[in-house]
Amino acid sequence: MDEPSNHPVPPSGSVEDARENARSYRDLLIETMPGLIVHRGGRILYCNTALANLLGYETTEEVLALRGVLSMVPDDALAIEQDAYTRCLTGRGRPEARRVKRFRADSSLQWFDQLLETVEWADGLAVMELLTRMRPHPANADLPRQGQLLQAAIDAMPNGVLMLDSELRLEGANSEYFRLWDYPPGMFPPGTHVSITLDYNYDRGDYGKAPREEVIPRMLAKFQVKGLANAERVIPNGRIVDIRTAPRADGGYVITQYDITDRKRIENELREARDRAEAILQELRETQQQLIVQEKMASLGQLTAGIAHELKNPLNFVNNFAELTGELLDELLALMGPLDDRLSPQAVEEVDALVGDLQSNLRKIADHGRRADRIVKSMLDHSRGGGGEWQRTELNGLVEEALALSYHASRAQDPHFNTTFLRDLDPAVGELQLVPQDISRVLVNLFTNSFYALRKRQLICGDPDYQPTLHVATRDCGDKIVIQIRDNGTGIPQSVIGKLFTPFFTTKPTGEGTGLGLSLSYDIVVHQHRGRFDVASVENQYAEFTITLPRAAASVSLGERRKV
Amino acid sequence: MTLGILVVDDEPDIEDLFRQRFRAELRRGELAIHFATSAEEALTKLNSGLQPEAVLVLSDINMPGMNGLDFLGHLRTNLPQVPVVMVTAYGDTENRRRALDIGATDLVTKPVDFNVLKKLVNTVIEQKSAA
Repeated sequence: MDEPSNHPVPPSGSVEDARENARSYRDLLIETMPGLIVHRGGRILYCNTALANLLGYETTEEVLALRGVLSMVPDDALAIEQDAYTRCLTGRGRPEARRVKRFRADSSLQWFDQLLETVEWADGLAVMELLTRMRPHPANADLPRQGQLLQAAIDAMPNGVLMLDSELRLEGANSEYFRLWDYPPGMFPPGTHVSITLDYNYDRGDYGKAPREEVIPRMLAKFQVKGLANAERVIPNGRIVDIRTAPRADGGYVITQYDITDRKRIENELREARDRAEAILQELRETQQQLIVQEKMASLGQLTAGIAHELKNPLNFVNNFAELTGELLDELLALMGPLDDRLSPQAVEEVDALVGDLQSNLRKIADHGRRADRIVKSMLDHSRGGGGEWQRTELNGLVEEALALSYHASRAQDPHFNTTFLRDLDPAVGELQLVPQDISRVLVNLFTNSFYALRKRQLICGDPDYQPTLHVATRDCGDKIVIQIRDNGTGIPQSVIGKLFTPFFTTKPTGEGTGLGLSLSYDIVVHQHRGRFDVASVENQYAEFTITLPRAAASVSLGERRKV
Repeated sequence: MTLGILVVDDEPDIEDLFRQRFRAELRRGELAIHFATSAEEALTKLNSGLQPEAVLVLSDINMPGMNGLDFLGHLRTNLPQVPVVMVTAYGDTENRRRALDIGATDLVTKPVDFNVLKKLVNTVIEQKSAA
C-alpha cells in the first residue's frame, strides 16, 4: 500500500475535479484509518465503518450480524487468536502488535497488522482490536519492485516461509511465518541472525528449563542440515508444524513451515476411529468364530442325541431278546432234561456243548448290549450337557465333594487302592457363577482318570517306594480362577495328548471307557463356561490338568444353545 | 380273572417281546395283551371295545402320526379311569415332567427293564383291583 503522502494529488481545475479530489482524499483517509472492533468472549460489541470496509462489508451492521469475531478467523489460526484474545483480556503485558489473516466478506483471505488492547466496555473488560492493511516492513520498503513482488508472493502463501543466507541470517520471511511462531510483525528485520529468533523463543520459555547453551546450538544445527530435511515439530503454542529445509544453490536456505495441526488432529481422529473399528471387527470375528464353534457343537449335539435315541430302540430289543432267549433256553433244557436218557452219551455231550456255547453267546450279546447302552447314555449326557442351572457356587467345596465322590468310587472298584492327597485350596477363590452339576462332572472325570493312572502305574512299576500322589490346587487370579489337578501316575504319551478331547477316544481297554469323559469335560469348561482347559504331561512322571474359569461367565447352557 | 393290557408302539417286534416276557402270566390266563402299532389304531381299538377290557395302557412316545403324549391327552379326557404308563427312549427330565403333567401314571425308559415293568404292572393292577 502506498503511503498517502506519496499519492499524487491532481490540481483542482473545476468543481467536479474538486469533488473528485475530495472523494479520493476521503478514500485515502478511510483507507489509512484503522479498522476498529471491540469484542468479548467472541461476541462482537462494536465495530467502525473503516473495519467493515477493510473487510469488504458495506456497513457495520453486516459485521455486527456475523456469528462472532472468530468467524472471520481461518481455522488454522483459531487457536492462536483465541490465545491472543485471552492474553489480552487477562490484561497481561502491553498492547500486542501482531500480523494476522482474516476472511473478507467474499471469503478471500487478507493479511492485516493487528493491535490488541484491553478496554473498559460497558460492564467489563473487552478486547479492542485495531486492524490496518499490512504494511511492508520498513526494511523491505526500499526493495526494488522485483523484491516487493517476491515479498507479496510469499506473503500470499499459506505456509510459513523463512529465507536464510549461508551465514544463517534472515533474508526474508512471510507473514505466515510470523503468525505461526507468534512473532510481532517487524520483529526480525532482514539481516537478523537466526540465533536471535531462537534467543527470543528461549526467553519466552519455548524450550523449557534446558540450559540455553545446549538448546540454541542444537536448534541452530537443524537449520544447517544439508539436503531436504523433514521434521515434524510441536511448536510452543501447541501447533504442529512440518518444517522442511531446502538448501539453495548460493549456500542459503529456504525453510518452509506447514501448519499441520488440523491434519494431525484429523489423522489422529481417523486413527482412533480405525483402531476402534478394528477392535470391533476383531471382536466380531471372535464372536463369529465362537458362534461357528457353538453351532457345530450344537448340531453335533443334536445329531448325537438323535443317534443315541434311535439306537435305544434296537438296543431295547437286543438286550431284552438276549436275556429272554437265555430264559427260554433254560426252560427248554428243563423240559428236555428227561429226554437225556434216550440219547447216546456222545449226543448228550454234543448237546451240552452246543447249549454251553449258546448260553455263552447270549451272555456276550447281553454284555455288549449293556455296553452299547452305556455308550448311548454317555452320548446323551454329552449332548445334553447336563442342563443344570447356573448358580453361585463355593468352588473349593465343589472340588472337595467331587474328590471324595471319585475316591470312593475308585475304592469301590479296587479296595486295595489308596493314594496321598495334597490339597492346596485357595480360600480367596470363594464363590463363582457356574453350573455345579456340570463342573462337578468335569472334576469327577478328571479325578477318576487320575486314580486310574495312579493305580495303573502302581501295578506296572512294582516299585514298593512308589507313592501315588494326587495334588489338587485352586487359585484366585482376580477375574478368573484356576483349578489344577496333578497326579504322578502313568502320564499321557505325547502322541495321545492331541487326541485327548476327541469324542470316543480312549486309552482304556475296550469296554472300560466310552471315550467321552474328557470330550464332555472340554465342552463344559470351554464352550459352556468360556474357560480354558490345559494339559501337560510327561509319560511315567505326571499328568497335569489345568482348568481356568472366568469369574464373569455368560450364563449359557449347552442344552439352551442347542435349541437356538 | 383276566386283565387286559394295551401296548402301543410302532415297532412290531414289541409284540413278540411282550408275549415272551409275560408268557407265564399269559399262559396262566392272568393277562391278555392287546397291541396297536399307532395311537390312532389304539384309539379305534379302545372305542370298539376290547375283550377283556384294557385296565392299563403302555404307550411309546415317539411314534409316527399322533405321538404318545397327545394320545395320553386323549385318554385322560376320554378314559380317565385307565392308568397309562409311558415307555420311551426319551427318558430325560423334560419328557418325564411333561408326561406326568399330562397325567401319565409313570414313565419307563428303553431299553425296558422288564423286572421293573412287571412290578409296575402288578402295582397298577393291584391298585385297580383294590379300588
